[in-house]
Amino acid sequence: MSLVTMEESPKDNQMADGQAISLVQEQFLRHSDLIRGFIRSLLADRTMADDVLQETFLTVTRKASDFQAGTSFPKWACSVARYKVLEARRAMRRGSLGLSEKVIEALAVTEEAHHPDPRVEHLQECLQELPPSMRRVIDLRYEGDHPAPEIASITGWKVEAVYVALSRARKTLRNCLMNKPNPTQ
Amino acid sequence: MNDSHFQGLLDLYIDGGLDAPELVEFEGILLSDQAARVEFWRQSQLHHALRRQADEGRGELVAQDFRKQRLFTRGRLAVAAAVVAAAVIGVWSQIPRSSEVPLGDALAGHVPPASELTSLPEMEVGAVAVISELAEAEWAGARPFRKGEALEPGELMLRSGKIGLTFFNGAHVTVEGPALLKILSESSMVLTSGEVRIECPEVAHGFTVITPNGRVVDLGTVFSLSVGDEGSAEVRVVKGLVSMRGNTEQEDVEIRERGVATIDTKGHVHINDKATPLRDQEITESIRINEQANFKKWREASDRRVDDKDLLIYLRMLEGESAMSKTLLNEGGSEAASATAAVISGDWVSGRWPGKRALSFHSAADRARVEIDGGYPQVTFLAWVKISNFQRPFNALFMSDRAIEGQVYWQFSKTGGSRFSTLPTADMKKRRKMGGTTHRAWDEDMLRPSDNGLWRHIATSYDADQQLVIHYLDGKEVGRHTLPEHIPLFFGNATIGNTSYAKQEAWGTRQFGGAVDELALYSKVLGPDLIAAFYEEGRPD
Repeated sequence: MSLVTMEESPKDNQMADGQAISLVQEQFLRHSDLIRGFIRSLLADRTMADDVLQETFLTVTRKASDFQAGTSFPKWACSVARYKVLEARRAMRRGSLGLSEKVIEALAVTEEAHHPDPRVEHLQECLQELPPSMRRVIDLRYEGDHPAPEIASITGWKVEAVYVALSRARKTLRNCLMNKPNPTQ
Repeated sequence: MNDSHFQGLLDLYIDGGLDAPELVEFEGILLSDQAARVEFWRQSQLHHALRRQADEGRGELVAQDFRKQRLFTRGRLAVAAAVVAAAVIGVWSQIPRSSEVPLGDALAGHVPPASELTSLPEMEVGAVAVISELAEAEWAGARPFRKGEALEPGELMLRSGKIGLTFFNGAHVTVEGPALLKILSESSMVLTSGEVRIECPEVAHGFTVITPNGRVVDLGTVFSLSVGDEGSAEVRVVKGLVSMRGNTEQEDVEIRERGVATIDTKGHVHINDKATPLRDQEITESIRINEQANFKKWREASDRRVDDKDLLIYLRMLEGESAMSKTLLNEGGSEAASATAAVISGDWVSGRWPGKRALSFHSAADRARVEIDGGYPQVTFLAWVKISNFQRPFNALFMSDRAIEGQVYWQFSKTGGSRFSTLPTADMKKRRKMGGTTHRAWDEDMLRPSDNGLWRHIATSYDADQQLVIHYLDGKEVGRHTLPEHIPLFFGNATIGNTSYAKQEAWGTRQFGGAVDELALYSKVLGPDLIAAFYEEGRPD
């Protein structure tokens, strides 16, 4: 490989670009769940969120040399994603329900946005500890992928009761997870 | 942030139930309260983790092709060679495996716990390509890869030999060692050094190879690409069209059929006018030759076993060549077993080599039947199997029918562990004294969920005199168990790939959930050397 020199030769710059792109794309794939979750939390529409994920990937590739290896990739990628989310929000029809740009901005800069709680690793255990009635409504929502009104017709409950049941089930899961050991400690 | 009113709004937001005035209120709180924003992310992350968990549980592989803006979801059986469980090894990042589901006491009549019925075998998501061919490959790195393994993005270092990779977007890449490459996504890879030949059907157009000094994008072709020591690349287009761009260039250059071009170490593309003979056919040809040689070797070795007097059952599944077969020839030499096995229902699928077929059992009706007279104190079961879908608590490979003393179950758990059992003595007093349940040689170290899509050799030897059961995987012992009493095994009318003993079906059926490429049953104990020999003769790679 090349010797360390005081000046960067043009050849070093070219190599850096190719490597920077590979690095950044690899990192993106590794953190794609987090980045997707970030975007989907801010944009309720699934198709729009997926388009933004695409756009983010392309932008991140184009700006690959801006990323400093060793710094937090999720933080950088989410900052790119934030711009794309705002662009998408502006393009939405006026009056369509969704978080406003101001709120998106405020949420996007919160540290927790790109710092998921590692205890979520224990989710499977906590799911198994859920009482059967709570497990049922969680399964309908997630495994069955049914929105609340559909769950209401499947179970025969009123839709308000479905929202409450989902809320309680997730709260139980949260409490369970908080009592699990933190793997990074 | 414990405010239950805000929590309520947040949950409604997540479940899509906020109306306009509630949204305004929700946003107001988010803007004014830092703790509310933190809570927003915590709840959202849980919601997304639940979603991911559910996607994995459904066995759906969601692979996103970021360049082409398509979202792929695949059912478990959708892609012929591609299977969902990926092994994560060597230079790749480790993803923690969730703990295996504990099993219940099923044969005594207890229903397995709810977790067994609702959760599915663990599968890793994130695979983007599969190793579809392998010829004398030698790997640098932690362990060798197997034909049929699904791969996640990561590095591959091939010291020598040839491999074929099929990416999930459809592109087929043959790699000749020595080569260093990185799988990036289902439609892209990095080639740092070595030689590849790439074939892209129309659905795979856009497949991209990144080299140190430039990139090559397939626009509907067959082309070969080699990257030398200094990172310069040479592209030869066999058919169709590719587009190339050096790292220092602003525009793409198109190379047509029969064209040759290079990317130099400064990142410039040069088109070469001299036409030199193409080596690309060689790589795929030699893989094919290698596979045919292995098939032939197995055929010859297995021919020598046929008609052995101690071989009760020997099903080589060669009838698969005529796809309508409803009977399998039993090539064992013993007089005690039926001359054929009847295929009640099942699908013919590809076996260990091109041209070899195997019988798969998926629907509740799928099964084959044989008849074996007599009781046997020593027995060895051997089979080449490939799991597709071990969904039920018990997945049966070979089961005797009647619930009599000596009835035997050669079956597997949802996660591939052995659930070998026999029914104990008919003497009820003695049975109660021993605890009443079946005699078990259960062992988690047999097949695993990560074997999904791979051909593995399994064997179990049973010795009533020694009261010993030994399990083998790929010719090596993985566990041994003592049984509490001496009972010879009785088969009677036996079922392959399912159970026909209706009483046990409280929680569902027991079809095998995979394919069988060869099945043998000896009326004696084969020791480790003979079992290892069976494995070596028949291994596909």
